Amino acid sequence: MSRTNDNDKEQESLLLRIVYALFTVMAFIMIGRIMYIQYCWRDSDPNLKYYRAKSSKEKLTPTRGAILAYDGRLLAISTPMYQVGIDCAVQKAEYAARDKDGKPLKFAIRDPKNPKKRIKVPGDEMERRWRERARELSAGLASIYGMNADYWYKTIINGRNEGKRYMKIGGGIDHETLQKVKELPLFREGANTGGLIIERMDTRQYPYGKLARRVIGYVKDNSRAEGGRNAIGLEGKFDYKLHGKEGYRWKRKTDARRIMNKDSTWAPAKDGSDIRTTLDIDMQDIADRALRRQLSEQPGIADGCVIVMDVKTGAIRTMVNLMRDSLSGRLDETYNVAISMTREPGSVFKTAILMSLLEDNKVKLSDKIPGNNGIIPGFGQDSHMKGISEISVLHGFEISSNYVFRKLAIDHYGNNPQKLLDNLYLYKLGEAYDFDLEGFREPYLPKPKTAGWSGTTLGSIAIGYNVEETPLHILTFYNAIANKGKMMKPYLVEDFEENGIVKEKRGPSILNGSICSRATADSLTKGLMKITEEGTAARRLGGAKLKVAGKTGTSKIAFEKDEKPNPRDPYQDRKGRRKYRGTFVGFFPAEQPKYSIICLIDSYPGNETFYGGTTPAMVVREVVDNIYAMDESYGQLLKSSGKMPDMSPEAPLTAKNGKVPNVKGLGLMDAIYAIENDGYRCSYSGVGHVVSQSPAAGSKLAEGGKVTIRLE
Amino acid sequence: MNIKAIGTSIKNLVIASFRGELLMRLGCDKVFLQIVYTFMLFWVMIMLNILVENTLSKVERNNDILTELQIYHTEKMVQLASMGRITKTEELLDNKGSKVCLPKKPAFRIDSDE
Repeated sequence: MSRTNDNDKEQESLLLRIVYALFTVMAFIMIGRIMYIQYCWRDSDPNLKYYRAKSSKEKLTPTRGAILAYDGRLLAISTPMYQVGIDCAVQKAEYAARDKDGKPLKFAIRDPKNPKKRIKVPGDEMERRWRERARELSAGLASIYGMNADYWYKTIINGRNEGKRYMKIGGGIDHETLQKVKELPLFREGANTGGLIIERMDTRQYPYGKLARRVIGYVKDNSRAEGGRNAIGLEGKFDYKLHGKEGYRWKRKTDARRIMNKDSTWAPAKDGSDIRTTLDIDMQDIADRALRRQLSEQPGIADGCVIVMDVKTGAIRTMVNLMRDSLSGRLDETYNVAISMTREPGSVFKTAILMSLLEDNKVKLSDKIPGNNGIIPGFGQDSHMKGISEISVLHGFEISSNYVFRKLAIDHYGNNPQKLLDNLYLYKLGEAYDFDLEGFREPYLPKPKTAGWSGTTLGSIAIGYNVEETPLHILTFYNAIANKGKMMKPYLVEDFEENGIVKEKRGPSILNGSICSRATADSLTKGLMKITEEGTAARRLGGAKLKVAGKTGTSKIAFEKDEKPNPRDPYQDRKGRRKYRGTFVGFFPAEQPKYSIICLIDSYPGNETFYGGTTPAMVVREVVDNIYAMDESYGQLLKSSGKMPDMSPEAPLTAKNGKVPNVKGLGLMDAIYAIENDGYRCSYSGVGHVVSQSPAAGSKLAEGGKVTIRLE
Repeated sequence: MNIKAIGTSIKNLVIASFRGELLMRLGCDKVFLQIVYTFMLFWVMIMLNILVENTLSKVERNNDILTELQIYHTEKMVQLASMGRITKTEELLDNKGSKVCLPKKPAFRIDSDE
């Protein structure tokens, strides 16, 4: 007996040892496995699939941030579009199938007469019914996509005969249209019977169309694939902010649908930031229309731009860039003239020369210089000066005399031209500072004692030649005059936002705290006002609704080598034709400047001269007059001339008088107010105004009773 | 333990399984409550899993509805924004034969002190 017990114990002991050894081995394997996963395992492990749950990885795409105007209006936003297709051959093979006796298979469907009942229909009949519904579908497609019903029916049936598994229907449609498509006969039966195929495409929407296209930019979608992204405008420059960050999650299949696998790792997609710009889209629209109108009427103009800037902050409210397609003649935002096209600015540059002279105490506006019949050795005669023996600096500025400015520059900077150039650099007319758009070109200023410097260079700089500036550089300079010498950096991005909360503020910044004294700024303003009152811009801007101070400029554009210039004159081609840049730049209202503005146009080669005082000034006039009309701060102030008696409202009627009020003709809100105020309940139907009521007005009804009204 | 004994044990095991006496022979009747408890735990676990899956499935469905609504809302915003363009409004008014146009003068202001 004891021997048997000993044997049993031995057996139990052996079993326990084996179990123990097994567990120990398992523990070591697990520890080893943990160490391996922790330190040695790589994502590329071919055995990965055996360790992971049977899930599929889903890429989570972020929503691209929106671009907003300064007042929050939408300029660009991402929303999906849908491409609808049809599987023409859906269920075709099933309907055509035969049983072993060669008879068509039968399909259980709902009885059209009694939907609760199911009936069996042979395949041939099912095919006939499918084609019948395809005809109804075709009529629906014709109403949504155009073409006629026969076209769609023929296309679908041909596709079915050929066994096409996918046929594209029309172009991309929005969500609202998709809902209509989903409700069409056949399609409403879904993918398995109706053959409906829907592809979702991420698209970028621009509610204002091509307005401000060069500033806002353009992308097809939020993908970074080639063709989906274009580096123009804010879309291109701030793609890193707008794009957001992709995420991922694992999904697994359940009986109901695919659900997120919470046991796996996941990273949510981070939507892109919204960009709040400084653009005033109404002002942009007005400026675009004004410039477009002028350019449409004058086919000799190749391109033009308008920029409006906020004087105090440097915020760009408007930036219009129109370029004419040389073949079609269509005007479009295809090139950013405002920041990328450097040209000799012409007379608008004289203001910078005058600022330098005033700041260096070389002259005063009242100073007079001899006329000399407008002749300076080495330069052509200034025809404006014929017969004038003496002229004041102010008058020379007013009539934009080339003679006056050449003479002043040569007399005062002839011995030290570098001093003038230093001043010009101080005015930021010689450098491309950081800007919110790509492609901001660097201006060109010649350097004394270099190969590009000659005896006439200083005289040419004085009238805006031999230098090259972008329109934005010129405007920034004039904006500083309007801002009493404080030069603000032009900018387009106010801040970056997430769900309406500002995450990164950018806003105004200063380029130069004081490019000139207040007195110099005031003197220049006085001179610029004189130009719009009596000078070169008086005819177009003299009667503007807001007083404008500004300068006109007309410069000849040099021909490039490939444009075959005249060998003796680079400003005309071999046929004697010239190209002009006409500019008007200034600010308004002149006394308390709020906006600075520049408008310029470039002409095609021709025999017509395009002056800054004509087309650009006319555009500025239209913009100024419209801004005046839209800004209520310029509106007449109405002050009370008497005292209004205090209102003493009558006590509201209550159900205590027990009569139903007359609400006929009232809108719904007013009717409900009147009824409920009288202590009754209201029930209504229809929309519009009350046409009937029950009980009738004046009839007795207890408090809490129901008054039914019908609206039409 | 020789091979014969192992064979006998397996044979007894199979016979006991067919007779439904396996658990009794192993003395599992002593831990019957624990077995019931374990079964209950498994049952609860499976139930909870199904409930979680149903909830997640509902979440996915609601997410889809929310996305649809969001898309609808965005599209309406875009449509409204495009209708708000000054030139577009003028064009629509013009097409309707309206004489309403952009104001020529700014709006009157009322003294805010009163």
